[in-house]
Amino acid sequence: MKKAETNVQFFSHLNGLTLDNKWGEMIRLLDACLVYGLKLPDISTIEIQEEGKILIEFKSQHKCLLFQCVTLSDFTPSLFNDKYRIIGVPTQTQILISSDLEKQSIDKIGTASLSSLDYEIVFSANTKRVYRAKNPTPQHPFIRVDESTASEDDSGIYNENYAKYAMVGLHENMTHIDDYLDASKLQLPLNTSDLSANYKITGTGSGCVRGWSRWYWAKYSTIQSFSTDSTTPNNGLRAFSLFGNKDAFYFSCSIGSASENTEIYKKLNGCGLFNTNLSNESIERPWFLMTYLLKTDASAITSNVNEGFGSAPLFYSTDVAGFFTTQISTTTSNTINAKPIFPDHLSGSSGLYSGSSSAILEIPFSDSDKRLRGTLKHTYYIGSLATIESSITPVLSDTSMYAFDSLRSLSGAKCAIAIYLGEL
Amino acid sequence: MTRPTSRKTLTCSDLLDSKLLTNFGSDNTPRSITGSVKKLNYEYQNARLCIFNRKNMSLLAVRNPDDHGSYIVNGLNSDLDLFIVAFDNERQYNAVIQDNVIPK
Repeated sequence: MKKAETNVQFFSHLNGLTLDNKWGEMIRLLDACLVYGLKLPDISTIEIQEEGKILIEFKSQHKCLLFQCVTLSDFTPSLFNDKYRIIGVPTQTQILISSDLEKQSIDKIGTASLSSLDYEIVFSANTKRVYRAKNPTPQHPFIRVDESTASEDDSGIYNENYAKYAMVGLHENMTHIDDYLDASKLQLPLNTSDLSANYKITGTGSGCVRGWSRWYWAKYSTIQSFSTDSTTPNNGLRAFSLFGNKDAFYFSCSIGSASENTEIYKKLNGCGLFNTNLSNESIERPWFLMTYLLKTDASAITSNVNEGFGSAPLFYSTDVAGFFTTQISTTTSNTINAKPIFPDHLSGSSGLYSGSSSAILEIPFSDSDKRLRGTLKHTYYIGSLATIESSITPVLSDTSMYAFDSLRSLSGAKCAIAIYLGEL
Repeated sequence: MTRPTSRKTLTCSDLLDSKLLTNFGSDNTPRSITGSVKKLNYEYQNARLCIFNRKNMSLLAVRNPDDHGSYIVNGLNSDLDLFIVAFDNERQYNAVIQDNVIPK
């Protein structure tokens, strides 16, 4: 009896998690997906079937998707309290999970939640968080997420009605929540001549420059068109996915509201570790960051994608498809560009290998120092035709579980990347 | 110091109906069929198995049994009504049919 693997998790707005045109939304979402998990409705019945499959009936709709992970807690006997993969969704109130447990009686029924990605909150303030993997190795970065809209001395003020984005950076050896001014500590992104560049807010009104590495979740108009940050975004729930594990996670978002984005295509962000080709003893911090690196003010007309290097990671064109990484150097150095290596920028749409029912290819990358660095975790190029109908689609190829996440590329192209979830 | 950088291609399904990769049936649960091939009551691996969709007679998969004569076909669903034809590659025995196979 084999238990399905539970290392990689994914969340979607389809689970009932919300992201609206309001401040505080990104931190609230990351707290849920990275740290606490999402509590599911109360359980009415639970039954162990043959081969370790467990059928759970909830008192109301669970909104879970096939192949998500579920954590059970407060059960007696305590060996039930564990993380499981959903291998069936028979009805809107039932799920089937995969375990290696023998048929036995359950003395006390506990609770279920969609499993978190296994991070903890290291530092916390009203508009900021620092997250880090639970039980980290020295390689695991401190992930700082800052939603502040004013500088410490209020000299820089970002109008709260403007586009909503978090300033996101990776750090090492953080000792407090604002520990980003020490030149000996690596950051991503990093400008050694301006250590606070990523979290600085200067100026007011439409001339305000807020931060550098920007994870947008609300901006005016559809994902591929142009607008200024100073234009008030429409209210409404955004389509998004959040996936990965404690080594690396990705966040894709439609940015315009789901009602004005009648398509479900999103833009990809991400951060954490990649699979480095250097040995463990190397001095490298194998970090990557997919983000919008912009130093423009709120009046600048920008697109959600197609705005210079790294603005639509893995899509659109050679430069736009890029992302960012740490430089391999004996000193703390500036961030450099990372270039993915794959057949084209139309993953899931070009059908280069449409003869296969699923053609999933790992994505290595090089950097601007012409170093071959390694490969991305969790995210794979799709060479077959993905035929996307939904924001995120569970896929089973023999015993390999995937979720295909629909993303934006050239106008009209239905693209997607594959999230490899493990073996059934 | 540097390991080779891989560029793996991940497992591909060999089911002849690619819609099954995302269609998990009316109860949204992937299912499979398992079984074994025997010749004169001994496990036999030199066989060819053809799994058909009984509703429209289309071929869904062609497989060989493993070293122990066993087979498993994953990525199916409970709406499917199948039959399996097993051929003896040594042509000593007539082909065998197993009808009314529902994945579980």
